[in-house]
Amino acid sequence: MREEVVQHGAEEVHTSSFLHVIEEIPSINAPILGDIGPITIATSTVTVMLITLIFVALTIKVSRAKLIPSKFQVVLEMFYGAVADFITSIVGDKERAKKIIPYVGALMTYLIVANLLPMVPGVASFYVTGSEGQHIPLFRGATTDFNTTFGLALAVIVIMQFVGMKEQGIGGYLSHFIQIKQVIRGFRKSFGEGMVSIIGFFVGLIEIISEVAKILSLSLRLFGNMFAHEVLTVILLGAFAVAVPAIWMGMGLLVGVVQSIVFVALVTVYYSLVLKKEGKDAH
Amino acid sequence: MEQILTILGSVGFNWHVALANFINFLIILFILNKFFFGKLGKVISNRQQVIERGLSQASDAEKALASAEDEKKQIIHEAKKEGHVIVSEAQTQAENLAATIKSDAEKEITLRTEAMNHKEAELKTKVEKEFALRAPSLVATLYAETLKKNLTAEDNNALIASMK
Repeated sequence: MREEVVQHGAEEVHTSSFLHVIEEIPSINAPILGDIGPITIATSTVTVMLITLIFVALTIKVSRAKLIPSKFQVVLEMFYGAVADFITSIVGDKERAKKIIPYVGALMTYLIVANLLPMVPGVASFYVTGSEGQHIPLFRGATTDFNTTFGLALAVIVIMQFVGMKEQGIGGYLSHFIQIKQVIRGFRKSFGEGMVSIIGFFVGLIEIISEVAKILSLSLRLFGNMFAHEVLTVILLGAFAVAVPAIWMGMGLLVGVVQSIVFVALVTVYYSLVLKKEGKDAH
Repeated sequence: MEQILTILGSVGFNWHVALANFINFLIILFILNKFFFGKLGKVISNRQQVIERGLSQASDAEKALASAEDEKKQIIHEAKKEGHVIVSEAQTQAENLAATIKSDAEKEITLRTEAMNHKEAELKTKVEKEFALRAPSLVATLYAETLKKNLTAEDNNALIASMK
């Protein structure tokens, strides 16, 4: 039972056997399917569109939600409750958590579906033929493409800025980054405090860089984990087609959920930092 | 910046694809935010309000029931008290009435007894008078009948005198 290698001139084409499923290791670059105006459609974009359709169907179902819930509504409400509890446990305050539950909850729902969708049997079976005749999987795992995770992290951080401005006021929020007022106030008090506030001014500028770094760290972490999982799945399928990949794919379910939770936990922490502090903690 | 783009390029970064995914995610976020989490949150919150209202109403009803129960006990207690007073008053009235009736009856009995005694005495006197009037003739008749002989008045008197 060895891997067959068929010679076609100088090319070696690896074919699958019963115990070895030979697939190409997915490229780090998402295969491009075409352009619609300025927007380029990659296979991961198609997956995101599929996810959008799933969510549209889900929201149609949810729009019929009633006070006396159906079994399906109970499941959705349990999920809502779990997400709300998770966010509240991080934020530490139910009222403050309520403000970000719709944003972070939507992110968590999206990530769980995006991470687990490729595990659904049949989804990975759709292929399109590329310009060079190669087979391209139509629904590439959304989070195994850096462009998706980058777009996701960018959207999350951009929305966070708006949430921060809504909570603290535009001037109040931006004063964390550009601390001119603090410098003037510091020098009015004393020279020493003025000098300290200049350090604060530079720290504020570094904060801007840290906001950009958040986009990169969030997107690279998620992409790295999910892409590595996919690559390892393909390698394991090539080595052992039976049993072992099943365990690894089972692990994939866990990885998908855990990575969603990690991403959401970090985003929740970022959001909780921009929320106005209330009660005893208010300053 | 160029270095960053080169590094990002090595992990497959493509501005156009990233933009498409960014827009897609914003659409998804809008849909989920508005129609999924928003709607579910509203339904759950409404249900919670209904439950809280129900619980509060149940608590109010329980309080009202307890108060009604207290009121009932109070009313029963007062009614019993009032009943006792009424019974006691009625008993006193009945006793008084009975005493009055008894006293009236005793008076009546006394009056009637006196009247009867008086009548009896009158009758006795009358009978005695009549007897005294009729006794001589009767005795004479008796003697005459006894002796089979008609006595005259002088005989009769003589006989009475001899009998004294």
